[in-house]
Amino acid sequence: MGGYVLVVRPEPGLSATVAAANAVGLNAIGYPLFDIEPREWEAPDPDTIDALLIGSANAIRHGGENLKNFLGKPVYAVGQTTADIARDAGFEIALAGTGGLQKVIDAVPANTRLLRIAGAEHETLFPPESVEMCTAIAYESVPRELPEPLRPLHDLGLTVLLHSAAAAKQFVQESNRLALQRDRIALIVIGPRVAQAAGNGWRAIHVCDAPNDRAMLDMAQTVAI
Amino acid sequence: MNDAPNSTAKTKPKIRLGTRNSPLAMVQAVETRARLCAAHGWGEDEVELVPVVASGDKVLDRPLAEIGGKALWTKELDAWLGEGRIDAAVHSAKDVETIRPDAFHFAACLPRADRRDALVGAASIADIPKGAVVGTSAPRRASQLLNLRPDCSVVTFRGNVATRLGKLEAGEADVTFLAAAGLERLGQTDVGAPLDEGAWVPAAGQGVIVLECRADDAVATAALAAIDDAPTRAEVEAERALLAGLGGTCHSPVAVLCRHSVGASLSMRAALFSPDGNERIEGEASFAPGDHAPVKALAADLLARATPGIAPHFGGA
Repeated sequence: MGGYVLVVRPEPGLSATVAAANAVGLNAIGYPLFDIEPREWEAPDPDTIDALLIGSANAIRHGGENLKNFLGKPVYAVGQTTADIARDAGFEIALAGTGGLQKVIDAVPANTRLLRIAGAEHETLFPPESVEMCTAIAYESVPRELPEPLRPLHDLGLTVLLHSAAAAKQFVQESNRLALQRDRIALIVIGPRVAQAAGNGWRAIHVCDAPNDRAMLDMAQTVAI
Repeated sequence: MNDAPNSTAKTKPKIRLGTRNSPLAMVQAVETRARLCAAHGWGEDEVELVPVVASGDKVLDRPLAEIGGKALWTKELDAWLGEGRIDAAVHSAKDVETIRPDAFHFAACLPRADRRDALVGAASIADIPKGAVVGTSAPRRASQLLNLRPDCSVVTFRGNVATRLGKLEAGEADVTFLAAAGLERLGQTDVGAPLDEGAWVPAAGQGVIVLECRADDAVATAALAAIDDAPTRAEVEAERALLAGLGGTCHSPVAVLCRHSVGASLSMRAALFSPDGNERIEGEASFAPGDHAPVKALAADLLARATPGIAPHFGGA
């Protein structure tokens, strides 16, 4: 198989995905498009909060000392990986979702007071009428440039794994800056929303049938040029 | 099938460069192509890059020394070069066996990049946590680390830059080493802390890209000679002369630092270790470029002083 697989998600997912890609015989390289950095946030009175809503493991990784105020509270997590990391951090898991954060919040029992711990850029949610939600911004994604050596590698064919719409937008910007040729690049995206953010002109856009790393790597094995 | 643009180029290539297909190897091949184009006024499509999957890139779960040594980096490229499928092979000098087939020769050494190792996971050797697990499969790095930090333990850690960083992130080790030159070439200069080469001695040939071609191929030899860097070549040849004198193999824990000193002379510092790091001997030499008699003498002196834990790992010349 020729060509390279580029992984651009931030750490700690980056190294894990690159290692998994190389383990299945792909020729992968990792250049993060973002660093995740913690932000100071003000914790509400724990007595006013019944449960946490966590849309990314980064909320747990970068939530800092304030998280300790809520240990023991049930966590509604976007997916199993996030739930596992929250559990390891000492939280009780009420629900690990499978179909996005809106579906998770739709399943929260009535009269629950939720604290959503999120990144600076986060999707808008619509809680059920009987659920109260306040949001704390605990981390942010800081964009990074892709390095110059990517240019010669892309000449040989590049398959890029895009895990988020933000990553897609940043990759578009960086590929323009480096004058990469879109017809040399295939995209594997975690879902349709990411495909939309990537725009057109690429050699191909492949949308995964499941929103996880495994599905993206399976797809990469099939389509990497 | 590779659909790289060069494979469909209309212009007949002036030279075909064989390279491993890892990202780092390919970036090194691209740098070589750029230098050739600049030296000869060629277009990029006149230098064909021919990627080869090396055995060393296929087997990643065992130390190189256990599965065939450095030949695993060169075997496929040697075969293609010998068969005339490529005109030259692009290598990292530190990955090339000391004894090479007579039919081949180093036609060029590119200017040496950063020769240091970078430590990933700690800011310095002293900052490595007590009792840490160190991931490396290089005998030099393992023994040198154990010599300085006997409280640490070593686990096998192979693979390209990305794979090793992944293993580190997965917790398979607390720290690891990577060549600073490789990180620089991949644009990953924010990874790791370069280790002072005076305190942490690098490998022979580290940071150098060498171009090897058939010795009887006058055209390729002449083309490659245009990008040869004489000072780097002098260092690399001296370092490899030391390895030859020591009779080392890929199991041999040896570190060497050769650099230009005042005037036209070279200075060399070499260290041999026992695999467990308990024993270390060092020696130094100064000499004129190309004069390897003092280097051979240094090798002989080191062998004469080799302790019981070191001697079995060096065959002598």
